[in-house]
Amino acid sequence: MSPENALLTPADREMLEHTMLVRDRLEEQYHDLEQQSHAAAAGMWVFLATEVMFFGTLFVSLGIYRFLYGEACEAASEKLNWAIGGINTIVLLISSFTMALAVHYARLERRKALTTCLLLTGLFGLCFMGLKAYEYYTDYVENLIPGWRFVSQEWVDQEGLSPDQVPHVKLFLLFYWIMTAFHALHVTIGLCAVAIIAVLARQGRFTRSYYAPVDVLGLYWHFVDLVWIFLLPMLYLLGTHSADSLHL
Amino acid sequence: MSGATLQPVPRRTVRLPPVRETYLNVARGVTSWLLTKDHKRIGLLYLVSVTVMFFIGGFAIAIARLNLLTPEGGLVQADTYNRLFTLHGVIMVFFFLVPVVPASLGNFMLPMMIGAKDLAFPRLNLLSWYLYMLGAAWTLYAMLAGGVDTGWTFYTPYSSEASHYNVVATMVGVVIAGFSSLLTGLNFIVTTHWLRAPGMHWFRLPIFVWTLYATSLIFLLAVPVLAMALILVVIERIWQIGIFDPSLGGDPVLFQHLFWFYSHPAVYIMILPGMGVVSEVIPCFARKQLYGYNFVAYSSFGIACLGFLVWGHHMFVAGISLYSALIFSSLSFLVAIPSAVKVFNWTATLYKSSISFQAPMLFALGFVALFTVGGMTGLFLASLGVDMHVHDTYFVIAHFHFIMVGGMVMAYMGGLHYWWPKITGRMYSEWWSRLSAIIIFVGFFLTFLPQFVVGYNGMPRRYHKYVPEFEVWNILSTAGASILSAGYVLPLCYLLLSLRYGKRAGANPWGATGLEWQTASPPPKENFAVTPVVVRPPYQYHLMKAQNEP
Amino acid sequence: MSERILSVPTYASVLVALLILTVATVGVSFIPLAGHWHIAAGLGIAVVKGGLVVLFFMHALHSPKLTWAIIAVALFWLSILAALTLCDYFTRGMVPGMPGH
Repeated sequence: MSPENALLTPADREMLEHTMLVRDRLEEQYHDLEQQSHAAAAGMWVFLATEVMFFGTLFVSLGIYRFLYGEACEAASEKLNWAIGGINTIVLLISSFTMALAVHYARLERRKALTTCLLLTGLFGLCFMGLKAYEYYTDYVENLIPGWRFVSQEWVDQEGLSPDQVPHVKLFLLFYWIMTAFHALHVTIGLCAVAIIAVLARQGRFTRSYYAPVDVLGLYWHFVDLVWIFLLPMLYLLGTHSADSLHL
Repeated sequence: MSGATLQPVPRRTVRLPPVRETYLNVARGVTSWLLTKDHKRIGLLYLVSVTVMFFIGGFAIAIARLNLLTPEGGLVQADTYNRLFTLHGVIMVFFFLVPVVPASLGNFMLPMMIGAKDLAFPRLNLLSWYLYMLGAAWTLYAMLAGGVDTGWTFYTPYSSEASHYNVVATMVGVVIAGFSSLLTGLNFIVTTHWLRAPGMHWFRLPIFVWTLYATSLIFLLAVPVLAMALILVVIERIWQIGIFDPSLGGDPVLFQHLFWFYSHPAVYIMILPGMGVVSEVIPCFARKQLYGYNFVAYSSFGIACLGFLVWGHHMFVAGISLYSALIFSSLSFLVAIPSAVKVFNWTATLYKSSISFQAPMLFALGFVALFTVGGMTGLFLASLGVDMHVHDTYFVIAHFHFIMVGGMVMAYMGGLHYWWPKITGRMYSEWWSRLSAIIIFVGFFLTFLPQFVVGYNGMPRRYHKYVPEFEVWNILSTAGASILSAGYVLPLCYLLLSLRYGKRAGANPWGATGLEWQTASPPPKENFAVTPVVVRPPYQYHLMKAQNEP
Repeated sequence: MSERILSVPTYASVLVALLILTVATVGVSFIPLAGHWHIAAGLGIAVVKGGLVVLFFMHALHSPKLTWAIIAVALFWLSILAALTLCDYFTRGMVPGMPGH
């Protein structure tokens, strides 16, 4: 018997659909779909707590080096491309907004709006990655890659740092690379997940009582946005910018 | 043995009674194990893996210990010695002590104790075993093909500049294994929150579940910090840009901060589940309700939280500020409080109870004794002045081996013996198991008590030779180690033999309370035929005194 | 999983607030201040923005107590790491007459 059977009343059909959904999606260790989705959300929150510690370690280390080697860190921070950093913040915030809408529409079972919002989120995510790649390229041009493209003398001559401080500049720039790359890795994973969920959404896999994957993906995506919110001041805005430091 | 009474039957007829379906025979073949999502089978996979790692790590230190038989240390070169103790430390800490009870016994028992069919995320659970195996294989390969000589602490700049061995590969292996414990912790926490059987309130949970929960909390919050610190060292080594290396502009003390932010709480990862096991075993074999259940439960969290506030006591001589050293020292004393609460409650449980000295109980009592010695000597090390004197000596070695080997390995053996009938459906030899408990206890004391003496008198750790004055104590210690290793090989033999020759165990051979004993041994794949409903707090032994003497 | 559903205008106003704060945080970096004030301002604004994201976009506002507990635990432990580590660095050299301290 299928839900399309014309002999069914609407109420029967809804019940049958729900039964099929439960048979299809419910894992054996749970009583019902609600318990299962609660567990999924809790699992994602717990995972994000570990992510807080992952990124937190980097933030605390960077904070300590900023405290120990303030002058060098500020000098290096001013060299970073704050304009792209700022625009990328805006791009990510908008993607977070569309993701929030995606969860909203998943909950209301509005399939088309859900798919559109997911695609928009992916688009803004790609835009972020594109800008990030361009920024990495400008860093390459401006010799901001310690260990590969880096000229110690520039920092002594142009920024007025002492030769002792140059290793600290390298240290700061290394943290910039580690943290942004680690963040970009998270965005990439998020983009893959968004693509998969968007395909599933288009196939109509999510319903009012089963949309936990969208919800969980949303949490992850917002968290990645959250990390960038803190990366912006900690990397790009440590020192005072002058108006002529516009890079674009 | 019920099977022995069966008469030979003609082929192609159905045997009566039919073999009961258990998690062991529900599916057969290697793939049914390698792709299993059943928490019980994954628990067994872990059990086998950690046992292998235990003997590898033990073998390395056996050679090192033999080397210390003479002051000249003639058995191995200094360099080999360094690699041996590093191998021992890395394997034992990251691949044995951390996963041993949570990932094997905990994995098996947690869902059964709360009346669930499985963990919340079974696929993640299997992934976590694969990550463990990958990390273990990777690390073992790195450490055997070349080795590492930094000690398990990977202190910079030993690890960033001075060492020319496989530091990077070893660290990567440790990070991979770290992810494995992270996933286990995540799984346990969500499971405990969402999959408890009807009526299983928080204060009806067995203490073992409480301690697993607290352990998971430490996994989740501490492992990322270690992983990140090790990744930073790897980056530093590969790109030669200073992060922790002072000659390149970094700060080595920061590495120690990050390392001990994980590794001190990791000590509680290595003892909390053991405390949980002991809290199960003691009431069962004393036939008495656990004294002060709430306090034992809360103290697990007390340990997990306070354990994060004390890491600086490893760094008193590393150049941290005097002010923060004072803070870390005084906070360190606080951890003694919840630990002591537990010991007092176990002792109070034993008071005026009817104790039977089966092997699990002997191990548990051994745990209490050894843990108390280890804990008390920890207070010496927490105090700033004494620590300056005994820092990095054998006193420290003896102290933490009392906690980790005397504590955790004893508890693990106790848990293994306690739940073995449930896991395998067989009983092991009572006589041999008691003997091995006693041998391990005696061997352990003989190995590590002399190390307190030499340590207090100034013998530093990690040296492959020493001044002749310490020779007698080192001979005693090595002699003890030989006894200890015999004690560890024994259970391997009689437990394996029990699989074939052991008496069949009923559902509840010890007459224990707890949901895991209410289903058959070995349990069916779905753990319980019917989802159990819990109506009573745990450890109600006083109610079942009359009918169920073991 | 939250029980209550927020409206689209709510999400939109949160987004607008976030964008304004972003412009503000970049703007502050053009004001000549001592370095530590830049950090304070930047992190202060970031905390507000992060709060908005967590409360509204991640629905923490209408989430079960467990979610709040997880957030609190993560923040608390991060603050342990920061506080006790920084405590060492900030207080070095505070005890006179102690070489290396």
